[in-house]
Amino acid sequence: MTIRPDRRTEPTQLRPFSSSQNLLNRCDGSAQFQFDKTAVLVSITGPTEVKFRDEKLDRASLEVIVRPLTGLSSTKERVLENVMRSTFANVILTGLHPRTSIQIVAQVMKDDGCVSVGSAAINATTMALLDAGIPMNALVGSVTCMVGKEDGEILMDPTMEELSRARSIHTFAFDSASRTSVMMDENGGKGTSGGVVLYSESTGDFTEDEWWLYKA
Amino acid sequence: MATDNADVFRRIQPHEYFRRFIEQNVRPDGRQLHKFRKTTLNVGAISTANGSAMVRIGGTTVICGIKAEVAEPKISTPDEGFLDPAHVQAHSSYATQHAYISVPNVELSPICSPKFRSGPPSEQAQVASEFLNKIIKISKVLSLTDLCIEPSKAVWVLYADVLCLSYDGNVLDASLLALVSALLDPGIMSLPYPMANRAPSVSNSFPPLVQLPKVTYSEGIVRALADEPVTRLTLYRIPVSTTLSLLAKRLLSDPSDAEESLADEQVTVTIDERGRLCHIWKVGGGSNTATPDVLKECIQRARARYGDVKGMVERAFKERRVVFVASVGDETEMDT
Amino acid sequence: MDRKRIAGPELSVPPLFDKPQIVPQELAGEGRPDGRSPEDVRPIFLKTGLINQANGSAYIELGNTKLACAVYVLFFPTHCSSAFPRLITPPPRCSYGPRQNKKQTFSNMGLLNCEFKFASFSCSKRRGNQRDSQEKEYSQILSEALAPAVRLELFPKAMIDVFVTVLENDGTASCLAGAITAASVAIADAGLEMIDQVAAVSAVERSHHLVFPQRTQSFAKDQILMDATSAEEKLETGTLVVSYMPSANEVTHVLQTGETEGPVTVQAIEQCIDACSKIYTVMSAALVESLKEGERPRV
Repeated sequence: MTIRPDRRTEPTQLRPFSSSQNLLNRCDGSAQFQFDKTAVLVSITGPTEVKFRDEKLDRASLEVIVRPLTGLSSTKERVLENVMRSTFANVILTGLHPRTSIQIVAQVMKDDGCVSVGSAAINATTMALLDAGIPMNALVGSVTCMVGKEDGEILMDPTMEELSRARSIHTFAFDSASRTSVMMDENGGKGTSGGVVLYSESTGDFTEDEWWLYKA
Repeated sequence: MATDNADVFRRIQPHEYFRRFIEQNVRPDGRQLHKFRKTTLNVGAISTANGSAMVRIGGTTVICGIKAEVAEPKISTPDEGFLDPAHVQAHSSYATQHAYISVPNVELSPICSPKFRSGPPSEQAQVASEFLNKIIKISKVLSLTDLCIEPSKAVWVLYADVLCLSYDGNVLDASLLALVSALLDPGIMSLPYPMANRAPSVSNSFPPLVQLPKVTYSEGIVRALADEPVTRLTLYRIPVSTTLSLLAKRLLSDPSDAEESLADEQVTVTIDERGRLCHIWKVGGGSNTATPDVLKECIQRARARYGDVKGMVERAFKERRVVFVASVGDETEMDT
Repeated sequence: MDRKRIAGPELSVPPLFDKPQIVPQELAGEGRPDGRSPEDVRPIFLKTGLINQANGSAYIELGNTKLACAVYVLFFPTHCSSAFPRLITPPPRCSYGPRQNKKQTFSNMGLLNCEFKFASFSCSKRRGNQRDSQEKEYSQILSEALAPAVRLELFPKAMIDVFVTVLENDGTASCLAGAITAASVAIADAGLEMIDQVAAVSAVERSHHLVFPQRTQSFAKDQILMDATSAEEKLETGTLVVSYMPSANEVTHVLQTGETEGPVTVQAIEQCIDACSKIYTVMSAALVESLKEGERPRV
C-alpha cells in the first residue's frame, strides 16, 4: 500500500471534495466545488437577454467566462472556456429557451495544480446549473488522473506535487445519463507503453469514474 | 434548376443535407467518410524566416514561419506559460537557467475566411495556439537544454507564428504539421542573411535536425559566427495530429469547415513516430456516440494517417523546393 | 502585454553576426547582384483563386517578395434592390448579408476597406503581431491607389474588404507595389466592375555621392533601380511607388520619399509607367487563366 503525499492511502482515492450551492444572491444560481486545495466558484445568470450578435433562433446561446486566481485571463482560460462551452452545449436543453443567453462565470478560488481546476470548474458548473434550475438532460462529472513516470501507476485526482512525476495527465468528464465521456483531454508523456495500452488504461479510469459518479 | 434546389436545401437545412449524404457513406465533396483531403507540404519557402513550412489540407492553407531570437532566461512566473508547471517543479533551478523558450501562436486573420474579423485573436485562434503550446511543451518535443547558449544568461527563443491563409476546417492538424515541419526545416537558423543562398548541406535526411548558428557569449553580447558549423537541435518526438468529427453518429476524418460547424463532437488524436499517444483532445458531447469503441476507431485512423503523413514529409524534405506556389503541380503530395 | 497570445519573454533580440554576408562593393557597382539591368523588374508570378473562402483572391511573387491578397464583399440585397435595380443580381461570387460590427453611416458609394499586414516572420527583423504605423500607412495608400479604379458608385452600402498579408519581404517598397497589383487582380477575380486594372511598381533612387563619397562630382549620376531588393534598399536615398492604370493611361497614386533631384524623379516615374505596362500583361494573363479554370465551387 502506497501512501501519497497528502496521506491518501489508495491510488484511486480522491481528495476530500465538497460542494455548496446558492452562495451568491445576485445571480440565478451559484455553486462552489472544492477538491481539497482546488476550488472554483461558478455563477449562472440566465436564461436572460442575449446580445444581438449572439442570438440564435432555435436555442439559447451559452456564454462562458473563466477568471483565473490572480491576474487577467490568458489563453489558458480561453481554452477552458471553450471546453466548458462545448461540454455543456449539448447537456443543457438549450432548445427550451431560444433567443436567450445563459451566462456561466467561473472564478478560481483556490488553485493547487492547474490541471484539476478544469475538473472542479465542470463539477461546480453542474451544481450551479442545478441550483439555477436550468433544464439539463444529464449531470456532468469530471475528474483528473495521471499515470506515474516510474511505476506507470494510475493516480486519481493528483496534487501538484504528484503531477511533477506524471508521465501523462488525463482529464475526463462523463454524463450521468449515457455514461459516455463528454470531454476528454489527455496529455501523454514520453514513455507510455504503446497507444492501445494507454487507451485501455484510460478506459480503466473510465469505469472507475462511473463508479465514482454513482457515488456522487 | 436542380442544382439551385440543392443549394437552397443546403443553406436552409444544413443538418438534413449532410445527414442524407452521410447515410449513403459519402460526403458532399465526394469523399468517403474515412478519407482525408489532399495534403501537400512545402518546406523552406520563406527565406526571411529561420524555418518555414506551408501545409495545405484541401482548401485549408497554413504557413508557419519560425524566427529565432536571443533572450534572457528569466522565468519567474511558471504559470505564465513558458514551461509547463510540472517541469518547473521538478528542476526549478535548472530549468529556469537552461531552458529555451518557444512561443507558438496561431493567427486566424480575416484574410482566410469571412468568419474571422481583424483585431485581437479570436477564441478559436487562442485555443489553437494553446493546443500547439501544450503539445510542444508537455509532450516534450524539444529538449529544454539544447537551446541554451549560456546558463542563466542567454537562451534561444523560437517564435513560431502559424498564419492561416485559407480556412476550410481542420486547422489544428494543418497548424501542427506546419509547425513540426518548420522545426524540421534543415535551413532553420543556417541563414543569417536573407540574400544568402540556401544551402542545406548539413542535414537533408529524415529525421532532420534543427540547426542554430554557432554562437559565442561574452560580456552580455551573443555573437553568431557565420562560418562556423551550426549547432543542432533534435526533435525528440515528431507529433502528428488527426482530427475527426462526429456528425449524425458517424465518424468523419478531416472535417471541412461546413462539417466542423455542424458536428456535435470533435476528437483530435496526436501520436508520435513510435506510435505513442501525445495528446487526445475531445470536446462536445451529448449525442451518446463517443463510446470506447468509437474512440478506439479514432486512434486507429490516426495511426493510419501517421504513416501517410510521414511518407509525405520524407518526400517533401527529399525534394525540397524553394518554389512556393509556382509548382503546384509537382509539389510533394499525398492522396489518401 | 498581449494576453490573447502565448506570451514570449519581455525582451528578445536577434543574434549579432560577425561578418556581413554581402560585400557593399558588389551592390555599389554598376550592375546589380542578381544580374538585372537597372530598369528591369524581377520576374513576377501571379495566380488567382488560391484562397477558396474569399470572393476573390490573388497571390503574387516578385522575386523573393511573396504576398497573398483576399477580397470579401458584403451586400445588402433587400435594401438596395428597390432603389438600385441593377443590384438585384449582385456580381458572382459575392456573399450576402449584413456587415457586422462596423458602425458606419449610410453611404451612397461602396466602401473600400484595405488592411495591409506583414507576417511576423516576413521581414529580416521579427515584426509584432499588432498592426504598427507603417502597416496602417500602407493600408491607407492601398485604398487610395485602388479606389479610382473600382466602380464604387455601383455598390451603395456595400463593403469591400481587401486583406493583404506579406509572407516574405524582399524590398519594402516592392511589397507595397505588389500589394496594389495583387489587390487589383483580386478585386477583378471577385467579379467587381472596374474601370481598369491598377499596376504598381517600385523604384529606388540612389545618389552616387552617397555610395562613393570619395569620387568627384563630375562622375556622379543618380541611379534608378527598378523593383529593388531589400539589400539594394539599404543604400537608397529615395523610394518611389507608382500606381498606374495602363488602358486608361492614368496614374492613380505616386508615393515618393527620401531625397532625390527633381529631374531624376520625373525620369523614374516615366520608367515606372513603362514597367507598369509590362506588369499589366502579366495581370491580364493571370485573369484570363482564372477564367479558363471555370467557376470554382463556392462555400
